[in-house]
Amino acid sequence: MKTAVIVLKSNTEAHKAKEYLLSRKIFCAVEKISSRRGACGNGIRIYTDAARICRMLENIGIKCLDTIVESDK
Amino acid sequence: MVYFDNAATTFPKPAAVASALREALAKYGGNPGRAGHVLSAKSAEAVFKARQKCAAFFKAEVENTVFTLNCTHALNTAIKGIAGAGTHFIISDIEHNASARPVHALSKERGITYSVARTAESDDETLRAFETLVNARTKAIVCAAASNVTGKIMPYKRIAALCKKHGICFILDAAQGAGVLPITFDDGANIICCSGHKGLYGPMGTGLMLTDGKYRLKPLIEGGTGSNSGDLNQPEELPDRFESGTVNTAGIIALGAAADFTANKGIGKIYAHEHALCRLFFGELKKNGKIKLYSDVFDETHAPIVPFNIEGMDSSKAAKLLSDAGFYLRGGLHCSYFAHKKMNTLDIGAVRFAPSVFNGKNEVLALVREINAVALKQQYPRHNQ
Repeated sequence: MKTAVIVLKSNTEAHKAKEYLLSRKIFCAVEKISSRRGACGNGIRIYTDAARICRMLENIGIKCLDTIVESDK
Repeated sequence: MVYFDNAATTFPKPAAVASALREALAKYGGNPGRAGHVLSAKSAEAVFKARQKCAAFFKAEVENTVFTLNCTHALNTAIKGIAGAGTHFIISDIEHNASARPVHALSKERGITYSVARTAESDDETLRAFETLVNARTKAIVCAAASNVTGKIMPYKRIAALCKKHGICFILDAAQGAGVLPITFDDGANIICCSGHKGLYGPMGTGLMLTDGKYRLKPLIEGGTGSNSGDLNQPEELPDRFESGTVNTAGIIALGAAADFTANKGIGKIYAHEHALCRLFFGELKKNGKIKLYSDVFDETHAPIVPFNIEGMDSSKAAKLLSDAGFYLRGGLHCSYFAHKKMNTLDIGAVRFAPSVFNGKNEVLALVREINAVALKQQYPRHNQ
């Protein structure tokens, strides 16, 4: 399954994003990021199209800093 | 024991708050937002939920809701955060030292100045006093929602409108207002500072600085936030910008439970209950000519606080005698130089009666009897030996 981690500005924003996505039945989880941009940063792991999720989040004022796409498992 | 020192900190705390605190210590042991393991993640989620509850209480955005150690910490963060070279502040003449001292300390450096607005019984006069002090360098007005000594409620909504008109920041000290008065960002403040352990019934060691996001503040301290650690610059984003170091996780989680308690109980009902107790207390004390009260009436312009003195007795002594009889009230100056200067009580202070939602009418009447007895002993000491 293809997954991605969307890097966000803070843990608070990650939880805010998670609540928003879960309310729209989009499964996700808050995750710490220890590499790449935002080292020791915060993000949300998603299992769907990252670009679409970023657009949704940006519509509610949550800026996506980066997307880390992980290989198919 | 009957506790009437709720303006200092409320006691007892609601059972739900004590329970949340115990549960937090047992279950949320990971450092929130720091690691990726389950315990840290669970703590972070619990802190987020508490933040949401506190944000909703004041109609703030969740990310603009910053946890602090107490209201003094919140006020220092706001005041020192907005101050720049040449800044002029306006404070009122009823301010707690939590506002007065940081502004005064800043005045000793960087050309920062401050003026003190003389408040009056009339809100119109108070407003005029503030407005006449505004100048081109005025950056913020710092004002309490209610005096922690007299309980006098300030016209904070009108002060907010005044600040908006002049394009200056309004920092509202809600230490004695939050949980008793319906204070939210709808009132127009730019920054609301409050303690978590007073009217919100949370544990000591908790406070809040909430902002509307319009003013960029410098942080009071810098350090680890669990975010963007590869950058030596302090994060710009809130709440991380102001929450360096490990937060009071258990206290914050309990504060979330406290916000629930206060919201569910209803601020209007809490105010009505405490105000009725103050009216009863004030009315009873007024019958005794040996008791000095500091207003002609106790009405809706007051938060539930009543200062008094027993004729010929220092307030600390009166408070000690009442404590010996099982009634806990605070004498002295209540960390408020300005309010006592205005009341002309810098020499003897005052005893402060401040009930909570857990006090009842019979406790108030028992206290009145004790105060009358102490006053009588003071008047006729030999008869009581």
